[in-house]
Amino acid sequence: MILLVAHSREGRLLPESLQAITAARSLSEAFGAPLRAVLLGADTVRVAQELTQFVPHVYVASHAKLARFCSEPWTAVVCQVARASGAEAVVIPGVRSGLSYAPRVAVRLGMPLMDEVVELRRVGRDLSARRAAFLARVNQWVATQGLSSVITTKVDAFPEALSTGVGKVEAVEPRLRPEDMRVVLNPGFDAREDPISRTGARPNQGGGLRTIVAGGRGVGGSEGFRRFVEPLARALAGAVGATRPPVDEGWRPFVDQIGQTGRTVAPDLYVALGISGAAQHVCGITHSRVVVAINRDAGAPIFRHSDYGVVGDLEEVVPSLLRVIQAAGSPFRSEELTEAPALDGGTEP
Amino acid sequence: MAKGICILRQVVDPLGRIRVTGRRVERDAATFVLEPMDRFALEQGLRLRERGQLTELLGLAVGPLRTQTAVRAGLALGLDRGTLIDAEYDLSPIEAAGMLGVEVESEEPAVVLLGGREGEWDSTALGPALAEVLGWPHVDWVTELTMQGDRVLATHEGEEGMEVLDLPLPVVVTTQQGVGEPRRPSLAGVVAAAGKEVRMKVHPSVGGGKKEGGVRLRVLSEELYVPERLGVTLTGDPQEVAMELLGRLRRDPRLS
Repeated sequence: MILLVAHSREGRLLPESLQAITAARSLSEAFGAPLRAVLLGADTVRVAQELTQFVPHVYVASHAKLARFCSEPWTAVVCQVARASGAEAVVIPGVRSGLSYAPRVAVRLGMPLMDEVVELRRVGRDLSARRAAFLARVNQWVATQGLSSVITTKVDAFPEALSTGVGKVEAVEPRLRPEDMRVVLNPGFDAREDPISRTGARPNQGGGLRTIVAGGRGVGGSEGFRRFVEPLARALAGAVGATRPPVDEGWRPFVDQIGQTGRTVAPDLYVALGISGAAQHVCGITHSRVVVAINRDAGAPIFRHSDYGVVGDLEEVVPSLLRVIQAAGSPFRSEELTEAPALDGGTEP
Repeated sequence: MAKGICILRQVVDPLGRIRVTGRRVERDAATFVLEPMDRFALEQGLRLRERGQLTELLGLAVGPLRTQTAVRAGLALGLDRGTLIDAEYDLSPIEAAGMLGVEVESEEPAVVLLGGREGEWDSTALGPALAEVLGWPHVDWVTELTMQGDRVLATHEGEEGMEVLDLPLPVVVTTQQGVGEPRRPSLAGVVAAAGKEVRMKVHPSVGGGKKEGGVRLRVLSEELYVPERLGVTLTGDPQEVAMELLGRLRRDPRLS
């Protein structure tokens, strides 16, 4: 049996959960092993319903202590369900929270961890997986014996699963020991307050032609993001991203950060403004379909990773681009504009 | 007497060239550096010691003999002493956690620090795996850390925004970039490091060649991934460049 752990937010499955379901289904078919899912949370009814449209058998572990993600209680409950159901493999979406407890699950269950896989294949009786290594400069194939493994799926590496029907829900009583609850989340906040400081929008949500316009140190400041990055993102119906220096400087919230210590993205069009192209950033964008870079420094490494490089000053190039896009009425063909999704990132309210 | 341990990982230089021979990344000819993300963790550790919240700060690494240079780099930056567990190079994070765990336990530190993501396995797994081996709590993507008695307050960058976690010691902390620019070694530090000992350890499970903890992950092959880029450069009058760029994007079949 393959056990998928579903992650949700605000009563909806994360797109990354649907991507992980695609991976788990392919495993299920290749190994002839049934697929089941587990959902953790405090208020789970709606998401459980949604999940049964994708997975025929859904375990629901509902508990007040699971209202917010915390890696230790999550580890405990996932292991509890995996053991009780005899799971041979556990598949977890490779979002930040998933990556923070999947290694614990692997150690506790005595299974190898295949983290952030982008492709899964059965070779003989064994499972083999492709993943990125060396800051995404190397494709690595790893293998385990049989199916036994904990797998995290790289964000945006698998397509989102389609609904298949209506499955059933089985309630599970979470067994949480005191040692699973020793971490206090957001001390001093009561349950009605939102303790998380949400200052930014997430880049690259939704389908269609996906565009990200990102800024680096060369943008010059938060003013530069307002003058160059945000207007261009709006004009291209895209989202805003950033490298680490703007986040360190407080010009952008870290949820915008792309790279080794931020998000990995794979949009159709990635536009890099004032980004030098450090290896730690480039590894987060290598699977972008088309990369455009605008930078004053003709020797910036980002040009080696770009399809189209413009050597020039943002002050001059970006306003020109905005004028040309405006004159054309749309960045691309007009029929594409009607299909372009409303992205939730990149525009100021 | 609160002790801290910084995990030091040696990785192929992210700025250097990578060669593949025989379907594996060639390591003999590679240049190695201390993982840049571990330098942020080390900086965090040094600051805790400077604030008097830690009294001793050790470096701990696992890997082949060449990993000594990573430990030396940590010593030059101010670690009090260093230990290297002798092992083969391609340990998975889960295996490395098992080997590091034994040594960490024997030192009884209050806090273990390491970078949030390592750039050779491209993985965030070592921190949480080590915490699990030790049975300790773990907090990741930490930008601020304050020790208060037998607990620690950590500001962490979660999926939706900043959160504060309050954890009991001992604890494993994986850091975010940008907790302050990591310091560079001073000449005095380098000289002092030359006099400090790097203790060599052989892990009991290495001798027999078998790893504890069940099934091993095998690396089957590695190949270079080089995305094909057109590498077109546009220069000149901004208005013309803008028209040219948009025209090329419109005609690019990958965007239709």
